[in-house]
Amino acid sequence: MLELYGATLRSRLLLGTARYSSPAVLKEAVAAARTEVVTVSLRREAGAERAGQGFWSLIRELGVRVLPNTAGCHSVKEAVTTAHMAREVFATPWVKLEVIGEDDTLQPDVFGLAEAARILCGEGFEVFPYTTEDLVVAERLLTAGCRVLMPWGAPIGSGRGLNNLFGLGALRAHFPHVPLIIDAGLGVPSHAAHAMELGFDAVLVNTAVAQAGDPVAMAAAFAQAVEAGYAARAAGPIEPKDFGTPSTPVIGQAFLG
Amino acid sequence: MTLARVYPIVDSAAWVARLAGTGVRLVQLRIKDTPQAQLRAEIRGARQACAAAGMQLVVNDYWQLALEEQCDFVHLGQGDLDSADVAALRRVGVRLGVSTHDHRELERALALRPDYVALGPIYPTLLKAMPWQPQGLERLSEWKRRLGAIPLVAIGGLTLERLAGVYAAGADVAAVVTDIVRNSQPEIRVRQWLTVAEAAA
Amino acid sequence: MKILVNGAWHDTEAVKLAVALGELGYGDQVVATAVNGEFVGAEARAHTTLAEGDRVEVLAPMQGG
Repeated sequence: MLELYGATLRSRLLLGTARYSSPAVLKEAVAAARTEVVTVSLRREAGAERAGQGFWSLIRELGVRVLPNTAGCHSVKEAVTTAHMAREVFATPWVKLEVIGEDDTLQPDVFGLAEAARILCGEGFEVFPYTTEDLVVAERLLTAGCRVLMPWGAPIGSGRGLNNLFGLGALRAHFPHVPLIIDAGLGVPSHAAHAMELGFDAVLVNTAVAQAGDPVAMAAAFAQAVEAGYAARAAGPIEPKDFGTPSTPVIGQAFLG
Repeated sequence: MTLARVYPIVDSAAWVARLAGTGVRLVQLRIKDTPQAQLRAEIRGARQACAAAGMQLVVNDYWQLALEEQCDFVHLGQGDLDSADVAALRRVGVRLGVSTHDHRELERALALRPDYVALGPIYPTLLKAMPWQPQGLERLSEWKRRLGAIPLVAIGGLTLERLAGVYAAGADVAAVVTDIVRNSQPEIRVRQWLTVAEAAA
Repeated sequence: MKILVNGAWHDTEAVKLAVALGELGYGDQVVATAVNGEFVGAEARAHTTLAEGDRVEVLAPMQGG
């Protein structure tokens, strides 16, 4: 079971709710993924439209936990204000903290991230920071009060998978007891399985499911991959070698030369 | 079967009647949040207006009422497909249009041998402010390749300026709400649509 | 007076944020508000005074990754 800030979860697959082509597809994908946590955000709403209200009803009907994000925030102040607004609207202390530093890679501004995390943890938020594999940043975030980290696989929406295996491996090794959720950049279920085999605790996927030809089937595939990777890690995989060792026993082999 | 190229979607029998005589041959009545009795009256009124003007009427969602009122066509979303009695519709000769957003929904629609398949939203729409991912022109072309002879209806965010491009990408029919209904002179706007559609044929 | 709501200018007679929201059609909707970049909690809206040129943001739940 996965424990995140005291919540116990069976599923290690978290799902983003953006970029789906219709509410029906989103609902079915969430069900197919068997996820228990979805990310959401806050955006401007015109008075006459009730799109946000409709979306909020849809999410509540799904019976999943929400993890509001501070997507699009580039400054500490924006991120902190957005977190306050999200806490009120979604009635949760959970926040996926994003402070974006660069618009091509959408990579975090790690300095702003650490500062915003410090402020929000101090105010009682349960922060899930979207970060890189940088060990020093990770340490700062944990010192600030974060008890979960969300390192990127690759730039948001890029579908590249796990970009920096060595860095991610080092992060896992350095913080063995911190729940680490790979977030961003996954493209196919094998990326998710690989992340789980490396020992990560969960993955968050959005574009790879929402933008797939058949999002519902892809959601189910990711769910299977996450379970397979987790089970494999727990089952004690063999170590890779550089040379071959026969699997069939040598003793008793016929001499036919 | 060949469907008219321009397909306005309106929310009352009065609007349907307004389109009579403009040259529109295919119109959808899409009404939400209205009591049953009023719905029936609207559907009936729309059907009569269409019969008088030689237009085909498509009723959105209320397949049961459409069946009872003997309308030409029903437009269903994927959710509606769960409960609709497609066999009954077929027996009576009501035609079926199905909306789709992804491959799986397309497969499901094709299995029913529909009389048209709709893909949307092609562009970001004003009516539904939720940022559902626009399908775009490339998806239209992909859908047309998969549909073959089955008419492809493009819907969502279509405007007069975008119309030629939408047909070029593979749409057989262009559905429209805002660009006509919210125009200050809808009758003129719809004729402009028909002119562009004719030129693109 | 004129206030900027979600990036668009509006004319309002309202002095308090809560009243302005009602005028703009938000009624009972679940939204979050900020004035000039500062969060204004739901209970505080009735006591929050608006001034000419204030920037108001009204946000609602939306999809997000």
